[in-house]
Amino acid sequence: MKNKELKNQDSIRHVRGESLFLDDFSVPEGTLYAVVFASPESHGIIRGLDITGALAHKGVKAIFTYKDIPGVNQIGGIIKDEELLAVDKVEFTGQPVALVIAESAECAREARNKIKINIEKLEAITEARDAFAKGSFITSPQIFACGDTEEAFTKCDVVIEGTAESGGQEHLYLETQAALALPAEGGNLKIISSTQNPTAIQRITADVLGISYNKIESEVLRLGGGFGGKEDQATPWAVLAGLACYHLRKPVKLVLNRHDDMYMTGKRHPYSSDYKLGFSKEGKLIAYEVSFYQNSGAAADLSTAILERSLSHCTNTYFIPNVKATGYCCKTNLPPNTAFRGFGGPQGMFVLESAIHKAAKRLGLEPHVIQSLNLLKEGDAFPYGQKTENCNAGKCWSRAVEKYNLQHIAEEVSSYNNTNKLYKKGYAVMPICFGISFTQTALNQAGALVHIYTDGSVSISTGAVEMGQGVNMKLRQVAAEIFSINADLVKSETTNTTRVANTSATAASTGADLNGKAVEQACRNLYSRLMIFASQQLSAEVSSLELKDERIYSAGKPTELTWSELITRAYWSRIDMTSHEYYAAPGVFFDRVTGKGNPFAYHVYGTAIIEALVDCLRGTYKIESVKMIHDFGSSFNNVIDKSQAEGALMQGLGWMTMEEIVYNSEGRLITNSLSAYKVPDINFTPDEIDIEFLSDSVNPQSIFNSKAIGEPPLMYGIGAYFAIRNAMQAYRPEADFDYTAPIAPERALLNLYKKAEALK
Amino acid sequence: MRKIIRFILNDEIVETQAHPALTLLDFIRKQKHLTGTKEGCREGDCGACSVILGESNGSYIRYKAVNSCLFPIGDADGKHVVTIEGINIDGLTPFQQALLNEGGTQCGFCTPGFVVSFAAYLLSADKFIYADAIDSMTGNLCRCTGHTGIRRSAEIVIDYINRNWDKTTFHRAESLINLNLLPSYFTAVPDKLSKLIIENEEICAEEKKSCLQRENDIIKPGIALAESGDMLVAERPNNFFQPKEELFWISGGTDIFVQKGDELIHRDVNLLSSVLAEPVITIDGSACKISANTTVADLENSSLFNQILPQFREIARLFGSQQIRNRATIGGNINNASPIGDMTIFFLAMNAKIILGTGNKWRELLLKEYFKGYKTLDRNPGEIMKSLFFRLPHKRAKISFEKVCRRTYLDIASVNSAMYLLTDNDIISTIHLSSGGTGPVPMYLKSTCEYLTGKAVSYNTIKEAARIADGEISPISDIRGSAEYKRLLLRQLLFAHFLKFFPEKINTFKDKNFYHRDTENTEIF
Repeated sequence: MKNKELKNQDSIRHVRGESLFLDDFSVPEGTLYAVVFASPESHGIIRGLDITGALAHKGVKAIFTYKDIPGVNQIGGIIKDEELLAVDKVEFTGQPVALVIAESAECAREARNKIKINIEKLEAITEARDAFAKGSFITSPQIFACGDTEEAFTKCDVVIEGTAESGGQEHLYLETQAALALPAEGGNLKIISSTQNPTAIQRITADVLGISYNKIESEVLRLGGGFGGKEDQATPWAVLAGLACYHLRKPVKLVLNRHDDMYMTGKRHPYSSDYKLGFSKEGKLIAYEVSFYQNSGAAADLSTAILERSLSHCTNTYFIPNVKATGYCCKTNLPPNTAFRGFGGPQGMFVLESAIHKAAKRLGLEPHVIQSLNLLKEGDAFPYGQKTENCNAGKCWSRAVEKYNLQHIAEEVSSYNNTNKLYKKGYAVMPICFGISFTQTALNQAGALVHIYTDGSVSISTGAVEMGQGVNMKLRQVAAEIFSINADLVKSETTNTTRVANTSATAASTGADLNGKAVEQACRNLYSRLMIFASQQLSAEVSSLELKDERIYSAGKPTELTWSELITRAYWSRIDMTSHEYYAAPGVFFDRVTGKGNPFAYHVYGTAIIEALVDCLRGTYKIESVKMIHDFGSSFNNVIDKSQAEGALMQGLGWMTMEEIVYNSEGRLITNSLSAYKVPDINFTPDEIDIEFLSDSVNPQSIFNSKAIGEPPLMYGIGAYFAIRNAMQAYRPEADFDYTAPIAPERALLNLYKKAEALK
Repeated sequence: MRKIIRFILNDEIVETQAHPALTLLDFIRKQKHLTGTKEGCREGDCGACSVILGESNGSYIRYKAVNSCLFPIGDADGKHVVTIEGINIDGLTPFQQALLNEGGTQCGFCTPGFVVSFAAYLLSADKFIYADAIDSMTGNLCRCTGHTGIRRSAEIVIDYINRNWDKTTFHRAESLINLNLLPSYFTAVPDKLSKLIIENEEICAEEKKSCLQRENDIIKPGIALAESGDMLVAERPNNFFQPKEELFWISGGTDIFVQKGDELIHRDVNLLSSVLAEPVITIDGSACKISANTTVADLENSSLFNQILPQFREIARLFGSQQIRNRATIGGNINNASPIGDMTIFFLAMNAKIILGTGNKWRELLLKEYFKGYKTLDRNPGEIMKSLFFRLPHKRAKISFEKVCRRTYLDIASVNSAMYLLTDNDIISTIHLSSGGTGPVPMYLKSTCEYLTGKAVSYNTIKEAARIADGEISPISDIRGSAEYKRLLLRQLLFAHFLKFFPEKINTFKDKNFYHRDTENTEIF
């Protein structure tokens, strides 16, 4: 790649406030506005719904309920278990029941207050363990296993058991869920929305309306943040707008306000887990059993796939020969929990890290001694059978230990703690390993449509959705690299199902990988065509020609054929300057019955060292530094990749520290506003974040040897939890604190001052 | 109130007959179609809607950032409102370029808000200091970048400004224009705004003749101010304007727009800013007097107030974001009667008094006697708060404010507490302690203060004081924390107050039970 330092040119509009988000689009005159009326109860039977008052409200045009659905009342993705609009029962607070359409959103909200619903309340389950005890599940349990844990435990020097809890996380994409449905002729619709998955919107809208897929055009310009929260959960709002538009034949816009967005949508899954870990007295891990109780919420959504990733990532970056991991999707009366950056991986890793820290305490070792002793090596097998290839676990670890001088950090922390009483420092090392690919093998496909216009400018359409991760820029770079033209000549188009069909969601960190490969292939097709044409024009061998810096070179010498001259001539010679290409990631497969296969195209590795300072008087803390060696493969956009790493890290820090979702015992969200749900602000950012790109990382499985970057660095955040805990431990060396995240200041203080007997 | 609202929006004069409580955000986006200003939360917590407000101060314009989602358009009258579109130049400003280079923008939704807040900082700062620049963006959330690129960008630009600042140029805007940090139209704004203000006054005089309001209905500037969480529901003092069943009074708007955003445009409202003079901070004999409409930022920026309480600037940063501090008033914070109001907690420890009343009947009341129960005040119907005053602190006074919340900045306290302390030879001669989040009202810890008076500062004294304080408070479990946590936290904060000034006298580790609590009994200590 010629220019890895290229800035994201799309950002020019961002910093000037000129980038358009859904709510910024000029809408046609006569556009109507939709507001969702949702269940105020978490579980119950609908005994009555009175919309007469709301219908009579001035400015209201229509109110739709399930009765107005001409097709199927079903939006479930993996499992068909979720109604678009509730029929006779509700299973979570915030479940859509009716849709109010009015001249303005304000008017629709006023009318919504006049809807009366009579619900016979049933008992609500809010905790995964309660659901488990009551036999409330989404599906049957999933198991990943290798070796023989039962046998292996008998051979371990030490076996420990414990529990670990990790909390949910609100996506808090700054742009809330939003959709605009526009009527088209012949009963067709165009739906523009803020979704990571425009194809899901196309399919589900068509199914709900009972019409064919080709009657729905689904389009996305960009998202004001997604983080997984718009993979499945952008769908209902777009479909509802489509439903209203279908009936009224008027443009309908539906933008959730922040409050509605927070209480109607699902979040990262909270997990409660039990583990048993067996190891030698040196700290070599021998056997690991873990049970994950996933709080799935009221419907499947993506929960089963997320659980699968918790299972596949339960050993993080370590080799453990005997593993049995069992996962339960526990059905509760919360909004269906959903994808969130890391997709169950972080939850799985947190449990093993907890176990390792507990084991270290038992053995009187530093946790990093156990961590480093068990890192994956080349050819080691994961519990799902896949073997590591180009394994960088050890490289990242030793480079981090060396570059950041772990020994020195440990000494500094210790000396600080010896001289300070109420402030304590702590540190932790967090190595990661994250598999890249959709675990549903079929989703690992992508299409690209590339046009070259007669002025030499290039247009790229793919299934990738731009949500801040810079995929549009990366795709432009791919085309610019192949054609050897300036990236300014290349434009990434909106994501539109009429240009590229049957797309997978932009998720699982695969956006640039899969779509980049498809673009690369399409561009190579065009390149070959153009070279053949040029060879005729120049009467030269194709093999002697190359495109370089917007000019054809023949045997290394510049010719008269510039890029634009070449394109103009090609057009007049009737050369097709459009190519559609398709990419299916090779070599990935997974057998769900045996739990074995090669589910991932490759793995991303890294090691971070995190330092924290805890004010043990107030129970508050600061993450002082995060230093990481991260395996970016061979990054072809350093600015984008580095800021992805920084952003993911920060979301991980938030998940582990201040971000805490609270539902009351009836399943009503208490942290339903930004004044109650806190995410890291500019002051919480560690003073020092150092990111080194691991050198010499090759990755032939991906575009230009790069590696996916969206999700993996989030998991470094787990290290912050253990760094804080490490500092707390210095204040109370005898204590064995519980392993519950997030460690918000309340939890920190209550643990610091817990009575000795109350600590195990 | 004048019906036509006239102000300068970027470089254009705009006129509107909109409802005065229409938010500036909705006006900008829906009526002017300037979509760079975003709606993110509508509660002043994300800053995506940030705009700059310029107010003429006779000869120059004072600029500050505000949340347009909590800003009634009526308050824009006679002002200069600057959105992201009004900050853009041909090409990119150095800050915009830095954001691009440093990965300080990803999805781009929050970015205009950051650019606006940073520009407001550049327009208003005394000196350009990196830490202050970061503080100016405390009210802006970016969910994508982790803020790291934004911090780098701020550092680069602050450095660039300090290296290139033309000290000979008198006008701030001109200097910023020279450095490509502002568009050139800013130089013409002062004249334009002066003219607009004169025109507004003329229109106002015209309208008054035909207006329903009578001269004597107008509260005389600077005399009275009423707020109850930024509103006073229809107590109709002086038959203020058109008497209606429910009349909303809006001052800073930082609370009422969060609570009743949708409702206000259907109600009669009065914007206190339109009838009141500038906030006043004065020294009256041995007391400092602050008019109720004084904002946190007014106090921070007052050189007089900084002389009296040099600690305040640092403390105020814990109160809220720059945007909120620019709008939230002391009267609003006190009359909101929130048990965790930061300013209230601070002034309780200053043993402040307030002046409230109506017409020509005014009375003084100790702030600590004002709160009668949850959101209940010792205020008679029609009474309004005019000002607050407190005795100038003794020059040896030790003043401390503590606040613990989930996130250090722009968050609501789990528990906050303030202390005013005077010692003679380590014997406590005067002490005022307050605590918030520990009961239905912002509390003055009377028994604790009584116990401490006359005592020598020692670990055991503070421990006993904390025990007494625990008996005075009655926290409940809520979203800000469990009752157990809040009780423990207040104990910790009382120690924190004293540890600041007497670290050698309070060695908490002498008592090995310092971190052992008896959780079986309700008795913690």
